Amino acid sequence: MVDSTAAFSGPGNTRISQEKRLLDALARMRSNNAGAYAVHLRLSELPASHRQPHFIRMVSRTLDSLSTKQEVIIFNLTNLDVVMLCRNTPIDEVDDAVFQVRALFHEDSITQTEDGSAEDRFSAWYDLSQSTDFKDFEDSIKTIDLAAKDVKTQLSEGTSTGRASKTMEGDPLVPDMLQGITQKLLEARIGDLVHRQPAVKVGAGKKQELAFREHYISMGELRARIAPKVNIFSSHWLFQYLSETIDARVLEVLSRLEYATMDYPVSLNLNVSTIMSRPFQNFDSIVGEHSDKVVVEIQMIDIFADMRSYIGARDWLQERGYRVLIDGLNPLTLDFFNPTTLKADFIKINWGPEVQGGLGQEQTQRIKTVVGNMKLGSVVLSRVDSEEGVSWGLGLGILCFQGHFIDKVVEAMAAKGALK
Amino acid sequence: MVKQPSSTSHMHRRTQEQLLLEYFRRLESRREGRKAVRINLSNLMPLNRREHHIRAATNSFESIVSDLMGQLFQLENLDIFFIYKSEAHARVEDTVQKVKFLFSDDPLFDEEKYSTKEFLTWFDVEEQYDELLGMVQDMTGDGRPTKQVSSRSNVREALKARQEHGDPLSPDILSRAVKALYRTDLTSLVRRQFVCNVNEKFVPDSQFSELYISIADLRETMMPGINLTANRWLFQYLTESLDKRILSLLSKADGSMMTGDISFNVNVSTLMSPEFIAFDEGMSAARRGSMVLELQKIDIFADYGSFLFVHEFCREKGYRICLDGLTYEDLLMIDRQRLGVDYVKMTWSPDLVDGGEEMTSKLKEIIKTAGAKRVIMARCDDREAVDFGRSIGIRMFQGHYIEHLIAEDERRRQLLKLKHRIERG
Repeated sequence: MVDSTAAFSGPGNTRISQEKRLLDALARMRSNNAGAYAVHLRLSELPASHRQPHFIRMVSRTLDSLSTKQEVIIFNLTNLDVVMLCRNTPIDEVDDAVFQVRALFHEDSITQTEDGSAEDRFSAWYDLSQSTDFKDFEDSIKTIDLAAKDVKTQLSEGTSTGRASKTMEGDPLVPDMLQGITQKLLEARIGDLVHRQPAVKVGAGKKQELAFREHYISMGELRARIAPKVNIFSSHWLFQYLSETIDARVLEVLSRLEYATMDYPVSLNLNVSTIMSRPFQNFDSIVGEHSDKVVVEIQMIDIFADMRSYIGARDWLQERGYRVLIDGLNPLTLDFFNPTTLKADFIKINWGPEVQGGLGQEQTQRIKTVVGNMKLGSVVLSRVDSEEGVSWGLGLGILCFQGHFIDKVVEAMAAKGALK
Repeated sequence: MVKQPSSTSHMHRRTQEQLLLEYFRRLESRREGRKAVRINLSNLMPLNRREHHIRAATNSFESIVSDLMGQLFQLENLDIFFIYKSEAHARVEDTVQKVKFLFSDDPLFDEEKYSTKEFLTWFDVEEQYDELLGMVQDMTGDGRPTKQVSSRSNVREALKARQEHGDPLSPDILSRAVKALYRTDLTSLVRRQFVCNVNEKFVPDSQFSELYISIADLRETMMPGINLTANRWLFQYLTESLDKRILSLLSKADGSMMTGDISFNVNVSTLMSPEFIAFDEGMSAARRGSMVLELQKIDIFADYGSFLFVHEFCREKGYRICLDGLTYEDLLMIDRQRLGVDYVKMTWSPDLVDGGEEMTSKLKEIIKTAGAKRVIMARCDDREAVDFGRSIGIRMFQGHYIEHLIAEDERRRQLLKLKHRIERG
C-alpha cells in the first residue's frame, strides 16, 4: 500500500507530515520488529535540477509495483527522500525497485556506487530487528523532520548566469499572463538588473587575462520586479517567448556602452530571432566598426529549433566581425553531441554536479576530443565555483573559465592592478 | 502527433486551391458543357480517411483524366474537386459510385441520418460559374500555413506573412485556444501515416504508423484566419495541450485506432505529467512495446536532465523512442546510439540531392553509423525522395509518396486475387 497523502504536495503542507507518519509507524513497530527492515532513498542528495515534483512523481510510479505488496509502506518525505518500510519482503524485489530508481538518475555520480555498500550515498538499508540499526534509522528521520522546516529555502536554489533556473516557486506561467508580463518587461527599469561576469583565459605561463565580460540579467531579480508571484520558468516554451522581449531590453542597455574605448569585449545572450530583428539592427549601428568587442551568446535550444536560421544569423554575425558563442551545453551532452560543426567562435560548457564526482574514462576522452577539435581557448567552462573546476577543465585542455570562483580571482587581479 | 505543414518543399509550390482557382479563371470563356463534382471526404470518419483510401479514391478518376475529359484537384482538407466535360458524365457517375463504395462502412452513408448531399455536391459549371468562382476564391483567400519568414528583417515580410497566412498566434489567442481544445472533439482531426520499409522493387512493408493531428485542419476548425505556427514557442506550448488530448484519445480509443504498432509526438514535459502516468497505467506491457514515442530535438536541450530522466523511464517501460524532425546538419552532430534513441527521423528535402558528392558521402557515413534500421526518411512526397534515400542506405520511409505506394500495392494484390479467381473459375 502507498501512503500517498503527501506524495504530490510540496513543502509547507499543513496536513500531518510524512515524517510524523513514519515516526508513528516506527513507534508501533518497535515492539514487533521481526523481519522488518527499511530502505532510505536519498533523493535529496541529487542536484537541485533533479529534485522536482515531476521527477519524484515518476519515482513513486516506479515504486508502485512494490507498494501493491501488503508488507511495504512507502513514505515520501518533505525533503523528497523516499523511505520504504518492509516486513519479510523478499530483498530481491526491493532491490529491483531500487535499481530502477537508480537507473532513472543513472547519469548522476551519487547513484554510481554499489547498492547497499558503505560508500553508497543514494540508498541506505536498515535492519530494524537490530536495535542499533533501529535507533540509527529513527534518528536520521528525526533529523529530517527537524530540517523539514528549512526545506523551502533549500529548494529555491538559483543559478548564477544563463537562463536555466528551474526550481522557483509561484504560480506556473500560463498564456493569459504573457501579455501583462511582456508589458511590464517593456516598461520596467532594468539597467540596474544587468550584471557582469568575467570570463578569464589562462595563457602561457599560467598568465591570466580577461577574455570577455558577460552582461546578463539576473532572472531572479527581474522576476521580483515584474512578476513576483509567477514562476516564469515553469514552461520552457513560454519563457523562451518572454526572452525575446528581454533581449530587446538588454540590447537597449548595452547600446549605452562606449564600444570605441572598451578594454575587453562584452558578451550577451540573444535569441536567433532577435539577431534578425530591428532592436539588433539599432544596436549594430551603435557598435559600428567595433563589432569585435561583442560576443553573441546563443542557446542550443534556440539553434536546434531552426538550424537554418542559426546558420544564416551566424554567417551574418561573423561576416560583420561579431563572435558567436554556443551556450547551454553540459559535459554530459558532449557524450552524444559534437558541436564543432556549428562553427561558432566559442562553446560554453556548464560545470555542474553531474561531473564533480569525476567522469568515466570514455566520457573524459570524448570531451577531450571535442575540446581538441576547437580552436585553442575557445571552450569556456562556466559555473565554476571552486578551484576544483579549474583544474578539471585544465586537465581537459580547457583554458577559459567563468563562475563565482573566477569572480574572486578577477577581484584579486584587479587589486594587484593586473586589470585595467 | 503534431505535424507542421512541411514548409521547405512546398515553399515555391502553389497549393491545389490556388491551382484550382487558376484553372477556373482560364475556364471563364470555355465554361460551356462543363460540370463539376465535389466529393466531401472531409465529412468521413477520420478512420476512413487513411491516406491509401484517399489515394484509391483519386486514382479511380485516372482514366477519365488521361482521356483529357476532366481535371482533378485534391484540396487541403482532402476533399476531391473534379471538373469534367459533360460527355463524361456517365463515367463520372460510375466512378463516384465506386468511390462511395470504398467508404460504404462510414456512418455518412447511413441513409436515415444523412442525405447523399453530405458526401457529394454536383455543379453545372456553365450555370453556376460565378458561384463556383466565389467558392474557390474563398478557399484560397483563407491563406495557407507556413512559409517561413527567415530572411533578415522583416516588417515587410511580417506584413506579407500576415496577409498570406493569417494573423500570428498571440498569447491571447493561445490562451483561448488551449481552453477550447479541452472542449473540442479532436477525433475527426486525427490522421495516420505509415512508416514503411521500401525494397528495391518499391514494395512497402509497414513497420508502424504515426498518428497525428492535422494542424491545417485544427486551424480551420478552431481558429480560422490564425497562423498557428507563426511563433515557434507559443506553438510549442499549444502542442503540450494537444499531447494531452491525444493521450486521452488513445487511452479511450477502440481497437481500430490502435491497430498495429503506432507512434505519436510528445513533449518531454508531457511524459512527466500525471496524464501520461495515467495513460501508462492503462497500458499492458505488450502494448507499451508496440508504441514509439516521437520526441523533438529541442526538448533535449531545453532540459537535458529531464530528457535523460524520461528517456530512461520510458525505455525501461518498453516504449521505443524516435527523435523527430532532424536535418542533415543535426545528424552531423548527433550520435544516435550514444543518445540512446531507437530511431532518428530525417526530413526529406531536395536540397540533399543538390548538396553534391560531399554531402552524399557524408550522409552515407551518417546512415551507416546510425544503422540502416534506425533511420527513417520522412515527408517523402515523390519518388526522388525514396530513390535518393535508398542510394544513401536508408530503408525506412514515410510520407505522401509512401501512402501512394501502399495504395498501389493494395491494388496490385486485389488484381492478383481477381486473376487467381478467374484462372480457377
